[in-house]
Amino acid sequence: MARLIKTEAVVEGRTEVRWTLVEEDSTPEWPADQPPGVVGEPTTRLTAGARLSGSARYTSDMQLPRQLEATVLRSPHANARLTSISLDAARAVPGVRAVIGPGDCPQFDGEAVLHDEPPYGGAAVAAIAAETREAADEAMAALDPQWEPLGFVVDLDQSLENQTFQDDPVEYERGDAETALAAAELTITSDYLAPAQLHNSMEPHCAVADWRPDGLTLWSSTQGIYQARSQLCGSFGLDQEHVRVICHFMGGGFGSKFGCGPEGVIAAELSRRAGRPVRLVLSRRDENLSTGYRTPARFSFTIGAGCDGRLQAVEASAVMGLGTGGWAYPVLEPVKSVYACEHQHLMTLPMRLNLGPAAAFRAPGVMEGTWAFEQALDELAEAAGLDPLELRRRNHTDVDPSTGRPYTSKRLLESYDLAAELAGWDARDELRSDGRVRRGMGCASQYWWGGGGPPAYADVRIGSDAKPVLTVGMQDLGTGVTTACAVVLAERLGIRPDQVTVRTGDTDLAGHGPFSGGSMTLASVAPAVRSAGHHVRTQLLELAADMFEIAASDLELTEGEVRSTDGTLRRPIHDVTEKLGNAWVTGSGSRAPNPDGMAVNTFGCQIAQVAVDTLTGLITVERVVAVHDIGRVVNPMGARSQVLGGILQGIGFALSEERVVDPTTGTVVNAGLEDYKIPTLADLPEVECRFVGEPDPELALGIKGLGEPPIIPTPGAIGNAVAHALGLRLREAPYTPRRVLEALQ
Amino acid sequence: MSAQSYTAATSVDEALEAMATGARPIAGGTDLVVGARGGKAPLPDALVAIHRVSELRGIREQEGGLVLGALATHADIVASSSACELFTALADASAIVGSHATRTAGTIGGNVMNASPAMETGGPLICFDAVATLRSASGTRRVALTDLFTGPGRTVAEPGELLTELAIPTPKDGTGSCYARLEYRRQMEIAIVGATAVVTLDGGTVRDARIAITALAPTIHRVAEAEQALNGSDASDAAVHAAADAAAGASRPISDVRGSAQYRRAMAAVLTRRAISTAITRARGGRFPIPASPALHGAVNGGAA
Repeated sequence: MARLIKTEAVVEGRTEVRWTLVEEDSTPEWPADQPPGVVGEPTTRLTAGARLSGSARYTSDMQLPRQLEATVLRSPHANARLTSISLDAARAVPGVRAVIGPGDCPQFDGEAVLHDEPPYGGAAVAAIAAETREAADEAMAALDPQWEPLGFVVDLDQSLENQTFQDDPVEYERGDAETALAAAELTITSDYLAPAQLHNSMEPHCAVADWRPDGLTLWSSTQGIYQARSQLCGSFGLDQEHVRVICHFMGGGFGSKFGCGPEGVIAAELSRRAGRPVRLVLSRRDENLSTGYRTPARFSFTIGAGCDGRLQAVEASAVMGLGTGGWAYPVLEPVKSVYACEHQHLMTLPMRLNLGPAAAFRAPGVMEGTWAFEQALDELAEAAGLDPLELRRRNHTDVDPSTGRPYTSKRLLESYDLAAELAGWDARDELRSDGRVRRGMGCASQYWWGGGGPPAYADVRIGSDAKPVLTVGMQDLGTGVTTACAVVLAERLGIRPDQVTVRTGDTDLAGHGPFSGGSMTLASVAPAVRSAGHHVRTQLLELAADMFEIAASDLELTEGEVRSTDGTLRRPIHDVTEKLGNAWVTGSGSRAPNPDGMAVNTFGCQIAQVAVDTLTGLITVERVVAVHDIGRVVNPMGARSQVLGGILQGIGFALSEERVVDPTTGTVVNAGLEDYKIPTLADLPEVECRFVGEPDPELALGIKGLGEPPIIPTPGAIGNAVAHALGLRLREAPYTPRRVLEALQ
Repeated sequence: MSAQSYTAATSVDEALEAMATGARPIAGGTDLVVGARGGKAPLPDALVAIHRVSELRGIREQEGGLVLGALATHADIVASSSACELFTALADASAIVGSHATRTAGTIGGNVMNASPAMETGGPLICFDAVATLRSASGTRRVALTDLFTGPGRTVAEPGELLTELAIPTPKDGTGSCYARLEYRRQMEIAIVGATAVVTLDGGTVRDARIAITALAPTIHRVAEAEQALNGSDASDAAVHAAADAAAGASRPISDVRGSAQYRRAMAAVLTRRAISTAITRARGGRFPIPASPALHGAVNGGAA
């Protein structure tokens, strides 16, 4: 029977209360002493062949009959007023089918999509749909926009001085930090400056809209098909039943693609006007100007501790550059929640700048906050004369320090021990030398949420060929969650994961489901999948019981067969399903909430070993040991892949990725991939990856998330390793050769 | 970014005929197409594809040296044992151009005629005395690589001229060479600073040294003062340092988002030193991995000064 229940979920540091529809579920948990079949076995991505061969069709690949190509005019100025624009001249260009300017396009989430006062370089002003890309480009040239440049602010300190906030400042206090600091035996103060990191998903933001009298279909590269649907309904005043959002294959998002985006609204409006399908794919440059970034932030810490290294008080502030959008990402969460510390006073100041809107970026706030605070902790360890890992052990907490809630599971201390052993931590000082190449080793802790929760729904059907079709209300942004779902279903049905067809990414296929973010997708959907699979399993066993005249309770599904527990019967599952003819056996499942009153978190520790070339300033990350507690690992191959990707993206933040803004013009000078340096696979160091988490006893299936955790400790561990190697600390990332050499001089 | 006309030539003569009427040649397209897509420069109105012209393909040995067809790819060069043994610096350079995909599609002819001051193969080709054959509908001429480049993106070639091959004479016995670049990452990179050294040893003495600098001036060029500092020396650390400092002194770098002029000039000395030291190691018969760059700056084999 279905019930509506009220639940609490923590999404990227924000607690949300939701009403959610849940089905009663009688699926038994996996017994703790028995490995659950294919769950936990390395499984190749189901979509690997399609992705490698190019047959996978991404949104940017869509080619509908009579499809038009769209382009967007963007402001070249950091802040300007549009004084004139020749929309009619653009309309007169042969092949042009629709042209829209400021005021012609519905809003997106209550904000203007096309601006008459574009507040940053790259803000959209007008859009064109034409038969060909070339015609659209020609029309673009005909627009002949005239601008009145306005004053702008792109400097964090200037914005702070002007007190122009993009979001409300966040203040957090517990205990009495001021008094505790004054009384502390050891006090250190330190500052750090984090860069703006650009997402650069492989697939840019893109949308293909097909507006028809009976409704709108939008193919969107999105992390949230249901959110996209709601936004389109809001923008165009449509009913949910008349909007369909599809995202079959997706080339990443990293937090920048929640919903349909302004590109979805523009494509839909152009399609509505032209009466033709319209494709809008952002160029890499436009992508890097207008679709988000990890916020640059200036951190200041004052830390008080006892001579034993135990934290007593922290005062901290973080000034974030949000640009013209985004929210106060939890940059000081690592201060607040990772260690025991009674007295805290934390201030987060989200500033407005004449730059594109910020967006969530893989562990938003927490990664850059961890980078800064974990280095400040190493400074404290040095002041206290303590081994950095020992300092962290001494400040370990058994309950969430901000709420006092117990954790559903926590294996952080085990992570430290295993990481230290694998990295050779105890001999780390032997790496150091005074030579041209200096080596060092550093560590950092990892903390994230990722417990998942409702809403999540799944449907399974199996027909005569014994090959189930699993439908899940979600989209796979490239994490491999689709394959993990197939693994979970395969276990229930006693078959191989590659025999499962998984359908996702279509609002018309499944009613509802989670967006892909907060490392929550698998932990959310897997229990629903298993429950749906269990219903089908139960029915198949009942059918088999009728056929073979053995009680269903004495039958099981294993290795593609129906077997009796006494070993006398072994028949292919197909022998049962073939009797179905064209009928299906179906089952549905939904996700129940997590336990109340408990903190659900992932934990971990990474240790990085670096080599610094003191003549060129080049840093090479030689080795990273990554130990994470993420509960049950469903697919170790996919999990390791996530860890490698997170580490590489963390290396980019630490060593080479930085949006550079020209202070004289307020525009971005390295929006292209030639000058914005993302590490390549060839830059991946040796990685030793381990998971220490046992299945979480309080969570459905024991699964916690992994999308974000691997990137969180990497830059901090690198920063600490560089400081260990050089005997001095770089306070600004990325650690480019120039900054390294300046620090050495 | 569309061109008005596109033809695919099956022979050099056909290509030259099209070029005589204004068509620009295209082979791998890794510069022309990428540049047009990126808004750097529009595609020319007329294109003639030469990628199917078999006479422009391949690497062949001829008496006294090696001949690289204009369509020889960077991957072809790295796969050639003669290139790796005799022209090691060229192999060093070819092995680090762009990515694996760039090296498989991009050709040496395109790389040379694109005439970027940051191109990897230019320094080695100049130092090895490579000679380009330029053919047009009206004739053929040979131009030493050292005379080919006139500025960023500019060469002495006339509009109707096609680079058909590059001839490189075999270096004297006792020669070792190296191309090293400063790179911020291991793939998809362009030299921030590059240095080539070709050193011929006679006993313990440097009989002939060729040193060129890359991404440090409007064109890649040899530095006579650096070569003089090394010639006749005993290849000691002091001589290597003096040569490298001379190379840095001859640099005229620009400042851009990839690096300041000051940083580039400082790195000119470091990179040239590493290139010379490695060339000397190789001239003495010592082994050093190809490509040299990652090993030179990387932590594992960072033995060079």
